[in-house]
Amino acid sequence: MKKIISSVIKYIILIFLAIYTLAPLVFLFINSFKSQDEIDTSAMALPHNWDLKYIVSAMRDIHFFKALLITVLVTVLSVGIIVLVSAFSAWMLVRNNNKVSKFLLLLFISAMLIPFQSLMYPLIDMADKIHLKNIFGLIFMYGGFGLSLSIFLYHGFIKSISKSIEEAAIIDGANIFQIFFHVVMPLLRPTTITVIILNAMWIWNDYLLPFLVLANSDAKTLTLELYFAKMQASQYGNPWELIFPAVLISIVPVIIVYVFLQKYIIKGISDGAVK
Amino acid sequence: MNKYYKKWFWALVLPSLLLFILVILVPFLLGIFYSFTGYKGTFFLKDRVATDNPFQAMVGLENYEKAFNNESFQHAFLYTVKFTIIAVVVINLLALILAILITNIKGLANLFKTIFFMPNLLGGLALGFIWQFIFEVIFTKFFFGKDGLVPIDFLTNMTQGPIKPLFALVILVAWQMTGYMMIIFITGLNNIPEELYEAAEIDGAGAFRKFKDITLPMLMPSITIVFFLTLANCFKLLDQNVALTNGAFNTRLLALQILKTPSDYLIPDYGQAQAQAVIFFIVIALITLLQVYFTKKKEVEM
Amino acid sequence: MKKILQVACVAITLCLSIFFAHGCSQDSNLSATKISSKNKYDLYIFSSKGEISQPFKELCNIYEKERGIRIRLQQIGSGTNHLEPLRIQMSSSEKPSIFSIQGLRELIEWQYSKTALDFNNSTLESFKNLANEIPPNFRLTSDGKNNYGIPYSIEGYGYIADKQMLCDIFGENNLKDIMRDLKVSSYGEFENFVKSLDFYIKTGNVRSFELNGRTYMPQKDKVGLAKNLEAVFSVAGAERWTYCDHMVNIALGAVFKSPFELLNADNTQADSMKGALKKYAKSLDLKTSHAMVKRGPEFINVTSGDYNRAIKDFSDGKTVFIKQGNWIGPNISKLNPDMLKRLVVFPVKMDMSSEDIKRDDMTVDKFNRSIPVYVPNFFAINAKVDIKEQELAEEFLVWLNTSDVARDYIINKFGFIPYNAPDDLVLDSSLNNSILEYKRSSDTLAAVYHGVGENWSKETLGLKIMEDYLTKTDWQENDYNDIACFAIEKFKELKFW
Repeated sequence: MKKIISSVIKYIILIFLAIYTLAPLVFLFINSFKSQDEIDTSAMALPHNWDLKYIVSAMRDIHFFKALLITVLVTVLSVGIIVLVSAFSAWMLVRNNNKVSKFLLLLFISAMLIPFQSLMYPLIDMADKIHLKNIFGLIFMYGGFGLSLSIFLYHGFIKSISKSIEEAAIIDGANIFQIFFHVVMPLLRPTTITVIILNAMWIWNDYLLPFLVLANSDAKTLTLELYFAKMQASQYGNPWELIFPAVLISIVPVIIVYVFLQKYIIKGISDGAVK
Repeated sequence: MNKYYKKWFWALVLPSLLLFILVILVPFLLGIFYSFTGYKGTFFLKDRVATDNPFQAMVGLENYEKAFNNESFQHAFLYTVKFTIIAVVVINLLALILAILITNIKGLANLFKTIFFMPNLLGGLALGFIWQFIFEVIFTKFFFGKDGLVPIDFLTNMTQGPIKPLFALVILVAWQMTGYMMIIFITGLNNIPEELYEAAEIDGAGAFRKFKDITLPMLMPSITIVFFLTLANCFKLLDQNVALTNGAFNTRLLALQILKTPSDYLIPDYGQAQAQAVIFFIVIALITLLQVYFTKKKEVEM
Repeated sequence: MKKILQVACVAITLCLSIFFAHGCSQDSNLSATKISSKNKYDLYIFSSKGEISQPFKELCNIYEKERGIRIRLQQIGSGTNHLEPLRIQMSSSEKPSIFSIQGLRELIEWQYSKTALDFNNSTLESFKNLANEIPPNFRLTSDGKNNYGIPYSIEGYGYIADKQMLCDIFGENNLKDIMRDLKVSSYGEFENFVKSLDFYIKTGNVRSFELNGRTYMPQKDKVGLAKNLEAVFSVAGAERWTYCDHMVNIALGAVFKSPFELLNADNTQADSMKGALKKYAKSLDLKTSHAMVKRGPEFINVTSGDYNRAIKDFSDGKTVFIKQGNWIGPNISKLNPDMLKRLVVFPVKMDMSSEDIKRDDMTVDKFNRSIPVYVPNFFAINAKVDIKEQELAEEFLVWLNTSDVARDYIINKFGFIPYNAPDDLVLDSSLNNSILEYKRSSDTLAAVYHGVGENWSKETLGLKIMEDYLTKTDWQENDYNDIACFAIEKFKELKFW
């Protein structure tokens, strides 16, 4: 009996907190179909009619499809670079255990301490001078900023796998890339998933770096479009009838991906935590 | 064998090293250099004379002096410390409670995990906009206002005044980050061998004793990670701060303070902003080193 | 899976190497790329007036066809974040030839860096003439002599009212008289008028009051628009710029003639603002005590104290006045297009005594019949682009302000009041015409607040007043005094570099 009561209590608490977690998203959803006036007067109610016109106009205002494409491109390419480059060097740093690699590891990892603010202005200056203040430059920069954490994660994992399989492959005469792609990378899969998830989450949602790099260009990421749409629609005040649908459509792709891949994502996070 | 790896060492480390040098190291060093010049964003200024050459505008420690004497920087610093302490405690406790609850139920655990983790995926800026509305309208009008469900004055108009926005930010950040930390705790809890509890039960230990003597010590590695992650994330928080109050009512956290410092002056003072950023870096580095030091010490003791 | 991964990796490596190659080649052939990028455009305009982006683009296209040149146009909203992108452009190799400066407070940076061209040094005769013909009170100047900007337009603000509303309250016979007398009335009379209106709205009873020495009274029965009235003023309490840039500017107008006087003000002059600032606080008190929303948390809430909300209340006829300028035209035309033809603007009155006024060319009477009419945004020319490009820029600005095509666009498509409007110009919007009337009779104040940074007005004074709105329901004489002293103290502390 006592057990049943305690588990009922547990469920009640969890359900309450789950509602609390989901409520803001529900508000977001129901208010994306309302006019400014209706949002003002009855924010909690379901919309009078499920009018898609606000979503449609928000899609136009934030150039949804273009921005989505750009955001996907930036995220995929950046994460690709990060995975490849950091796996390469983490592997080499582990396998060559000498002073140089110890120093390099320390250097890479200590960069995690550098706040973005302390290098952003010079970085943008430099990017402009070598004509990289565009999407390519942005991808390139993400490649750099994602390194530290990824090398750290890979390094920890590679340390724990024995190099006997690799050595067997070397003796068989496989070249370094064959070894890397056929032997090492498959073993690193759990860490790779973690690295992908952690970096993709951050890059997809980032706002400051795209703002500094892309503010003057026509190609903007979703978060940046969202910010500019809000600024443009009304220099002052809050145009909720634009903000809600714009936020909604900008997070829908993420939610969809999450629903399909949640198992991997949650596992990736827990694996990343244990190192 | 080792020779084989050695041969490829530089070739494979080079891409990341290059990226690192170009994207982080050089700008960072340049940034430190700029903090000693009259850097104004598009030009350099010393003694009210403009130049394009930073070497002609070296001002020594002037920017650091200005930063330390800058009231809004001091305020932002204290505000960030306050926020971080409260947020870290709240998030850690909440995440631990959630994790314990979830590991102790039979069904639906995965569903709950999925739900609690969801806010993590969404951008701080977008969420900030929604939460601003929730604090100013939903909380104020419908829930906690005079005619609301439960009148609690503190929870109304939470983005106003000097104190409330701090807690509004904590609520927002806790809502967002707790799920992530919960996952880490759950992993930690699942790694605790069941036998330990069984043994303790035989010894007649109560729930509290079990928690104190088994769960907590065994969970220490997870706690360390969560503590570090929340500390770092809260200390560097920016997007949510921008979206919620954008610094009104003296609610700038350090990251926003640095971002806004240039525009506090008619001639934008990027030099001082850069100096603030360097100070910011030193503080973060110190915190991390202390953290690593204490963790190492603890692990040795255990 | 493996195959895909492999292909992806190879592709990424390729991309990466291209980036490197790209970066390097750009670096080594800097001069070559400069020439190639120069070929992309002849004139680069960076405009921070996003509201007119579509018609401005059309206008530039017309000019491109007419002159056979290529214009690169970059437009961005005029919110607070336009400076950051502009600075990024200014430090790049492709610098704008024409860029926007929103008042004197933004000029300083570009003046010190020698980016903005002083038009006195211009080499193009037609442009020099254009620059010299700008009326002195509409110039972008930091000392009264230099001249850095060609105005986009002029704007004005004050208490805006609907003629029909006044007509329904006071009767058609009285409309003309009351409009004339309201314009010139003193603060004391205006205060009494506001209180009588409030009494009338709240109770439905009428009480007489005097304006300019004549006695008036609302009609006994509420008719027409008057039936819906809920308050005298519609106020956006969450928008600090309305009370701390615009409202304070009116008070500063009693002390300084122009923004550059404020910019160069010393501590003694700062102290001399005290009287005017106290009266500023008093008039804020009057306005907010008779607003739709009561002072308190609701008043500064982002929804109930929102700019759009305030305009909505006014356009719904719930209030008699809103303190705004002709920029609300587009909002009103969306919400209540008929109203746009009936709007007029009245001066914001402040209880100045002759001691409070420090200008030799200003009297209490003149102050109370004047509204701020000023230039919110200027075109500046970049002195750092080559001289040929500067001249192209100058030619464009001459064309923009003298040709018939451009004039038509400025008036009809942008909805602007041209700064060089001839005296007989009549515009579609009654609000714009109302502002032109003040300009013609020279009953104007300058944008003095452009002489001090937002750090003082919006960020410091603004927050202080917002907190007073939040915490103090009753404002007393000493509260006015506090506000004035605080403002002056912070003004003295403020450093520009």
